[in-house]
Amino acid sequence: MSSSFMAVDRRESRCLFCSACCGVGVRLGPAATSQPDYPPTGDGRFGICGRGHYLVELLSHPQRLTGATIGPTGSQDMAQTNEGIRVVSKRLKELGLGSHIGVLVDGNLPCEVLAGLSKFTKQVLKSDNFSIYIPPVDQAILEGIAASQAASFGLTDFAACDVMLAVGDPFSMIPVIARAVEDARNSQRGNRLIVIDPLLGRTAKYATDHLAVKPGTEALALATLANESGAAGELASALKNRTADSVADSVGIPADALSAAARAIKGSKKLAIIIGLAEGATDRPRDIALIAAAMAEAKNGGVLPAVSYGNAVGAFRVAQSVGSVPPGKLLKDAESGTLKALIVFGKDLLQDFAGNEWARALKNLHFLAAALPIPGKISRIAHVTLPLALWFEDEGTVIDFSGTRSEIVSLMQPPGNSATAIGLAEAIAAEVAPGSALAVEVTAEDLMARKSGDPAKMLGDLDPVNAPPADGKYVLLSCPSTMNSYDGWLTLACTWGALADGRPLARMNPEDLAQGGLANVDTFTVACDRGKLELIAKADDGVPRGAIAVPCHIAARSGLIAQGVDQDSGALLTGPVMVEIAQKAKAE
Amino acid sequence: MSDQQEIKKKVVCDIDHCIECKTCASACFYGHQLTPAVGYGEMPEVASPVICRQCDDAPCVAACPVDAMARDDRGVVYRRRFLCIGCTSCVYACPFGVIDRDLTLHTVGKCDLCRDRLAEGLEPRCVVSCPTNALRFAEYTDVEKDGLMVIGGRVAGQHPIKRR
Repeated sequence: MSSSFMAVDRRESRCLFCSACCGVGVRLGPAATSQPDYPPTGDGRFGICGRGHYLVELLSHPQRLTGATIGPTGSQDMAQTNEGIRVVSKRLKELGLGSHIGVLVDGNLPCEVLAGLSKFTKQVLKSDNFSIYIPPVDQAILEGIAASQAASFGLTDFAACDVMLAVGDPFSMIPVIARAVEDARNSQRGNRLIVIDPLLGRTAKYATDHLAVKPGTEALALATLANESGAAGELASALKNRTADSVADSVGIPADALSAAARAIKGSKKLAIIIGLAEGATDRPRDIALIAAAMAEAKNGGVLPAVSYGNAVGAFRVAQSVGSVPPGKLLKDAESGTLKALIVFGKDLLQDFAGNEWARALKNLHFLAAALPIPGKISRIAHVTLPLALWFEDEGTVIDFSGTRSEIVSLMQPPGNSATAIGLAEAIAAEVAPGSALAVEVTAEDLMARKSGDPAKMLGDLDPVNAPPADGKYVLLSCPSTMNSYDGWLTLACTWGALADGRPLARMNPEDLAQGGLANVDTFTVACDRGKLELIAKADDGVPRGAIAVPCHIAARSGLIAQGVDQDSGALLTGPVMVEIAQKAKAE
Repeated sequence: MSDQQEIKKKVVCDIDHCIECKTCASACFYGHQLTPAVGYGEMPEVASPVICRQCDDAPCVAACPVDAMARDDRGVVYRRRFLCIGCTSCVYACPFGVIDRDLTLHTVGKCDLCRDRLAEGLEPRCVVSCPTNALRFAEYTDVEKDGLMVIGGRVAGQHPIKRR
């Protein structure tokens, strides 16, 4: 379309589809004619990935909620937002204020919004049950790093590193990392990129040393590298028995290869460690982060947590600052009947990996309100659904993976009668407790990195959870997608997200396919005690025998990768799961 | 051969830096009203963007029965959307398979190097959005001056054999 009749109102904000928080621009036009634009990033480059482009479609998405829905399951009626607010307030007053009311907020909102909703929960609703939802793997990685004093690295820090160690597939999690890592590797002869990943992912394709470990043994392999390179830091005594010879069989890598990688790390002047794990990719994300942080600290390097939520770091710090309970506690309280009402801001709990658990728990509630930008599964059972603005219609502070703060600004007004999370909370507060003010200024101290926990006490036993696949069983591995966010809730609602990466493709080793009587494009169903998932077969040499690699948004939505709630911490857990092939159908 | 001169700058892909993230296809999709012109070739071991080479003697222009394919003043071969009848002659004429039929609109998507952006002195969307800077909008001679080897007329790399 010619620019002559395109509107030229150009706005810039940040993309929160991953923790790189790239700058994104939009040329706003009438109706659905807005187009993406490309502001330069901090280092003078342009570049947003495929996910960043969805912002344009979401600005005028046809499914955006523009009013409230009120009513029991299956008979919801559209209403004005004010009417929805009145119903929420009335029900809260009827139930009485206190800790039997819970508030769960999606962590991918600006820090001021998260802090404001904490104030709303504690001062208006008189409840301590305030929870910030951060994806379990992101949460575990950030907990592991917070237990050390390791530096956080950004893209510009790689230039000074001669050895880079990646766990998982960070290039797929956050594509903008790739160029910085590649440039650092190519800057000097002998620079190394060591990748620990069971799959031949996008990062592993560029590795100088790809340690294709057995699924579930990433932490064990990393512990061995830490011990053999003498870079285990404060975990040295805990990891002293992890030698290349002793773990070679367990991880499936020859001792020589492990020792060679360890020697490279030992001889490095500056070490960068990048953690890029999809939801459900491994059972031990926190252990990996603990070891990585200890290594980075010992080698005067840094860690880059390539986590999936844009403001995961900010949300983690706000949660530390205001005191957030883990989502698993709300789930358990709802199951036991202690929690009677729940207000959810921005998260469709039923489309997630733990959807089955939430579905059972939410049925026990006396009242459920969900504020969502696009109606989802939870809006079918919520007593009231309120229309919520997306992050680019809100404003505030976000923190990227390197710990750098930036401000996001509103690109445009939320559509129809939808409002920001703080706007909705203020409207409820005005009815429930008139005179309450929720505006919160988040100070630098609130968003400071805090050391929490003792790494040696937090470290798990590192041994693989799942037995090696045998007797027709396979391990279902979740792998990151460059096109969709981890649960696909928002991105699959976008045309390109569904077109480019919406099919449930299952990559398998060609020998496994042949042995199972499958060929490319055949459909088959995998099953475990948590349920079933229909997949389309695709042969891939980069997948180890006994594994089925599935994009994380498919794995997360299927619910198969959920591992329940941690009894001690209340955190939600995910990880690879053993499945059987239940049904097969030949492609037509 | 057309009387008009071909455009000198091409979209060149540095395969050593392409991580197959499909951002270029996404940028094209949203930049051209959901009619993508950047395809994505997936072979067993290689996946890379498939972008129009802007041929000097463009077979798609010669094959079009309704003159929907044309070359503009800058030399860009583009599709005049309202003239296209969706006969797919250009799809079959293209020797490189870069024109794909769009079954939704019954017309074909064709890379026009983002003519609206070129008019403003900006680079095509696929190039500026590339997270790894693997795509360049440059003349072949410039690419070769940078030490890259041009392979097959459009793809460049630091190594003659694909490293991955």
